[in-house]
Amino acid sequence: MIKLKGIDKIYNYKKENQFQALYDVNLQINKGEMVAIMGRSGAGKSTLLHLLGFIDTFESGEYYLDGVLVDDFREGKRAEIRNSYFGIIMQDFALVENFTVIENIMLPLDFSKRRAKERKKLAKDVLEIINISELSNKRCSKLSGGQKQRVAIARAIANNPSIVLADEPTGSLDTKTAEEIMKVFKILNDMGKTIVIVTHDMRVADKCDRIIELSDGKIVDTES
Amino acid sequence: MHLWKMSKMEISNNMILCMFIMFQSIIVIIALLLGISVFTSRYDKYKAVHDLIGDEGVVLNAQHFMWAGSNPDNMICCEKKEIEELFPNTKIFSTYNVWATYDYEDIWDNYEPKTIAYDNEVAATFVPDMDDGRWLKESDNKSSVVEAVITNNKAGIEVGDEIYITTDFFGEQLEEKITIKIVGVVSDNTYIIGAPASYVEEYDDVRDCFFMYSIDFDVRPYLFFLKEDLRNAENELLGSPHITTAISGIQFINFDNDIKSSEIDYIESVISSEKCNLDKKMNMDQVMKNSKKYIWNQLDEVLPIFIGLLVLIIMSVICSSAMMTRSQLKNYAIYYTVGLKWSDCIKIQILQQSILQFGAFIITSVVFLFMLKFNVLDNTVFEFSIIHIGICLLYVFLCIFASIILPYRIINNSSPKNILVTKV
Repeated sequence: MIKLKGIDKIYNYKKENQFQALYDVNLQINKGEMVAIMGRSGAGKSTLLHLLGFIDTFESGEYYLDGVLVDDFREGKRAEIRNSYFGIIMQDFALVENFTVIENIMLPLDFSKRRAKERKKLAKDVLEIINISELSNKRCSKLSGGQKQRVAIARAIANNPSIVLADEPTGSLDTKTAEEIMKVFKILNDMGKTIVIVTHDMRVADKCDRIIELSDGKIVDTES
Repeated sequence: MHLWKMSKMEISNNMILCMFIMFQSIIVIIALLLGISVFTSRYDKYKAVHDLIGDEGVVLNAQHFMWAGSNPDNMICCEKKEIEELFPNTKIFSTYNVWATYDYEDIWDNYEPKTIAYDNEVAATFVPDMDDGRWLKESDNKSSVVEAVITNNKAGIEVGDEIYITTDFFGEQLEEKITIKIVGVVSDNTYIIGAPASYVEEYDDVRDCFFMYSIDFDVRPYLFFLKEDLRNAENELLGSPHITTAISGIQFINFDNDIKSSEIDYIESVISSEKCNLDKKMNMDQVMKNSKKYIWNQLDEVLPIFIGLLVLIIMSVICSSAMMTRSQLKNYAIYYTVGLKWSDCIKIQILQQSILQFGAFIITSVVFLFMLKFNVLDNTVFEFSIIHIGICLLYVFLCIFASIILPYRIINNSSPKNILVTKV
């Protein structure tokens, strides 16, 4: 499903303070896998995740998505893929705090080409899947960490993407809440979605099919 | 559609700042409407005179002499055709005094109106403010009923009323009375074209071609109708003209394109002659020169203040839009993760500002129209026309343009990824 070949990511490319975050990354993630990306702080985990999710670009290499080379995709196409192919969960939830739960969940649907009726139905369905229907009209600023994480997951899957990318989804949660969140990811994986999780937490990584280990911008190990 | 939705949602997120931006624009739009109204109310008079006399014509004041006929030696003119015979290669647009006695169902006492008749072109060129009904207009059909407009009056004559001319100047009863139907009532203290001879002022600008009627100072109202309508009615009812009219007050002389300079010199010599009852008021050069001062009077005092206000407001729009953009960057980055193109952020900004600026314009316009409809703005110069709308819209577009200058820079210099990973 996802194939990276020789990917280099260099910040401030060709400038004085140039910094290479990823070196010759070769990676394949198959459909339906649940993969953890692990490594120390600064290893390049989030950078890799952002590249995968079309949030960031790379300087050299090749990126294949379902067999199609995506390197030269224009901004419009990339936006379309971010909307329909990926569901992205950022480290600090990245919710619009002043919006309600339902308004946050509707965001990817609003950018899709779906009709209004279909959008509303999908949003309601997702609320039920993630079990947060009762929070629908609550402002996100009033939610707990665990609730926010659920809303972030709900938003990520609202448009029925094939791939869910999560950056430290349990990082700021207590153990019990973290386990609940991982159960949600397991349900999504059982539904056929490919899950890629960046994590420090071995307990999270243990629940995945495969662990990709990064060190100083290089893949050092991929173990099942 | 999603960009509209995002714009509206961002406005609701920054409601206080947005209200402030709208309030600023409402103030400027009101100031614009006032300035334009002052200008157009004065410019309209200038344009009316220019439309009648062209680039080189002359405005004359006719003192009427009842019994003198057309006599080249005396050069006294009572009728328009006499001026036309006196001045070849010109077109004359006249106002007339009308000697008529009216019969009205209530007793007139001192309220019997004085009457001014117009050539069609004079009436058509300037429409005064009306309290009710409409101003005079040329009719396609010849009728035995004369449509007329009256000033505000204590006799209680209103739109729809009919009064009758029953006798001629000599007191002879007419075979058939002539019906005068009131179609409009002119507002008080408003300019009316074509001053009667005794009313002509000495401003030496376009105001001399108009007079202002006030019910407080002039007990007898004025009645206005088209001379052509009167003659049509007389021909229909009586077979020939019976009511005496004579040119009186302001006359507009338009020179033909092929008039020779020697002919213009002759006209000048005639009207400066003591034997002529036509006094020269102004030629178009004088109208232009003197009227410019009248038009721009007061405006050139407030213009620097207004320009200063406009500059301050535009700068405020620039700063507040930059503030809004900065506060919205995190949201834009979130939208980016769910499918927004980064370049579409500026579109959201443009839509936001459009909603605010057009909103300010619409609110101000609706309030103004409401106030005009219910005569709240009577006795002020405030008007609301296409010109006002056009200039206000120019301001709206200027604001929208100014409001995206800094946001464009901010958005282009920002990366959604960096925004997302930056912890606040």
